[in-house]
Amino acid sequence: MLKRAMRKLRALLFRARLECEMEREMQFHLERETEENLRRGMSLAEARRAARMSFGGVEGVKEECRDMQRPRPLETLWQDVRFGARMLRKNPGFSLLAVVTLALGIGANTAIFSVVYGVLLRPLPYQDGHQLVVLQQYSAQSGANSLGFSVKEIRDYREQTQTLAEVTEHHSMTFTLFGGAEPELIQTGVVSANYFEMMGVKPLLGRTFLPEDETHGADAVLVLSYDYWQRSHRGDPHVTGRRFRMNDRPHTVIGVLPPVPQYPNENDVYMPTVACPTRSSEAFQSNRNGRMMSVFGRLKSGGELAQAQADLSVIADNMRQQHADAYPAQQRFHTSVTSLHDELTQRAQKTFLILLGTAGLVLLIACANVANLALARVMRREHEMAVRTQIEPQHLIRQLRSAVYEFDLDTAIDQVRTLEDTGREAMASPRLTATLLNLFALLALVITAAGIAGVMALAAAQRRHEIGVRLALGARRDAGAGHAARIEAGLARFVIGRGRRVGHDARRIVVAVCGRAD
Amino acid sequence: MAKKQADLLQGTLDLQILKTLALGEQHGWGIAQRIQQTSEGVLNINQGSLYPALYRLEEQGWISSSWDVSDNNRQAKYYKLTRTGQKQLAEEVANWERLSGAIELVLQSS
Repeated sequence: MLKRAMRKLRALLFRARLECEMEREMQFHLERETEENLRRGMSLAEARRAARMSFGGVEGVKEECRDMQRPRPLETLWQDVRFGARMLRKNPGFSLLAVVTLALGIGANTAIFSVVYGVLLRPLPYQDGHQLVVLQQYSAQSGANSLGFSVKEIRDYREQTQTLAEVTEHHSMTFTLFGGAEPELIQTGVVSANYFEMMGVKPLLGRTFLPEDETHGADAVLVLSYDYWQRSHRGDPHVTGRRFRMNDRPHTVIGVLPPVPQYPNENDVYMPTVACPTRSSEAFQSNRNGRMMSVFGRLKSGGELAQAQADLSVIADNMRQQHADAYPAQQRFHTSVTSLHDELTQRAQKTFLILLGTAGLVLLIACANVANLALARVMRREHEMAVRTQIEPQHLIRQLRSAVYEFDLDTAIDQVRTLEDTGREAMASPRLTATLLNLFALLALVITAAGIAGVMALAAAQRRHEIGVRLALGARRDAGAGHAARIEAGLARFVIGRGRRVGHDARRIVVAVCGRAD
Repeated sequence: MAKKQADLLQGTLDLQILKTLALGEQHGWGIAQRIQQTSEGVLNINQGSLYPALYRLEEQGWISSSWDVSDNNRQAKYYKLTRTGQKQLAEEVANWERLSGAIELVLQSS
């Protein structure tokens, strides 16, 4: 079985060698027969003629032999491939159009898939990013937006949770900062001491907050964001230790954040919760309805989201029973916990899937378009095909040979060939040059197509980290989709050359392609 | 007329080739000689028609071929029987004997 397959493969690959062997084999036969005839006393001419007579037509025998050994399906496939290659070579315009069309389709898909993979499928670029969760509290009044949490609620969750290793809070306020060239209004993030550590953000200069910084009566300290540090302090490396006045008390700079986009929003500086006058006021702290803070947590190692959800629901139920006045029944308060990854990508997800679907459609249309073009070409050749399939040159040869035999048996007609063969031989040399040239051109084309796709994939891949971080620490929760759309638009501009929004461009591709397909 | 003869021979040609190769490996011309000798010239086949049969048998895996130096010191393509070829030969011989036996019976009874 294997041997047979090997022989078929050989028959396919070493066509010329087999032809040569066949020729040698028959030549050997004729020579032996001639020798035999000479031995019987014939003259050389007679002996040769007799040998040829008893053998029959060599070409005819060869043709029959070829019929016997030809591995049909493989050969036909190979012929088709060669025919295809020849057609592509003959029609560079068509080939270029086909390659470009497919390259666009494939390129767009690759680019969008890279983004989708980077944002939706890849884990967050943090140490144990999959363990970060977002807590949200809703009521009938708040609808789909989270209410936020009050100081008392945060304390309850933090103290009672069995499933979260850490709980941290964040809110943002605007304060006036004195001590620089002139007073400045600055956006201030007010966070728990463990905030940066839990999110895995390491300071660029100095340090982030310690538990001591959050104790009552501690000296007020500030951590600067990278952008603010660059903007207002021109990246001064000795900024740590400088003192500024805020809320009528001195604040000391203890560190600078690295240039990562911030989550859940962009702030100029950060301070611990005790330094915020609102957050640390007696009235606010004792008000269970003062819901203003965002809350994040980290699952205990090996913990499941479902367990955390059950755990937090129990705590929330207890809370509502103990403080029924703060949670009116008709408001239907409930608390949910979502993985940070899901929360960040939730809004982007729909956009991305639509984009992916669109890109898939574009590829499909590109394929259909190429198929259409190919079909159109076939239709044009229909007449030629009909003629070709009706008359097989090999049959003609056989008929011709038998016709010649009718007249004179001794005429050597081994040299019957189709005109095509003769023409092919005459054209062999210039054709080789043209083939080589075209081959290189095709190679260049393929490399270019691969290059375009590669560059687009790279462009997406390079921004993948940024997308991930931006989404994780991004300015607005719905910024992910917008940002993705911006990246996509950039890619689309790259692919198509112009256009402002990807949705717009995608539609244009479809229309343009459809138009051409008609 | 020639075509009819070829058709008649076709069925027996495979058997003759296999039988000849059962005696040992041989090249095409040798097989043709051998068949002519053993059949005492009755089955004087067109020598050329031997080759398509050889190629077909090889394609079916019943015989295999290799190049070797012939008795007069020239390269020749030698054929030999494969294992499946031996089985096929036994089968065809049995078939043939059954057929010729039957024909003999028919001829004797008439």
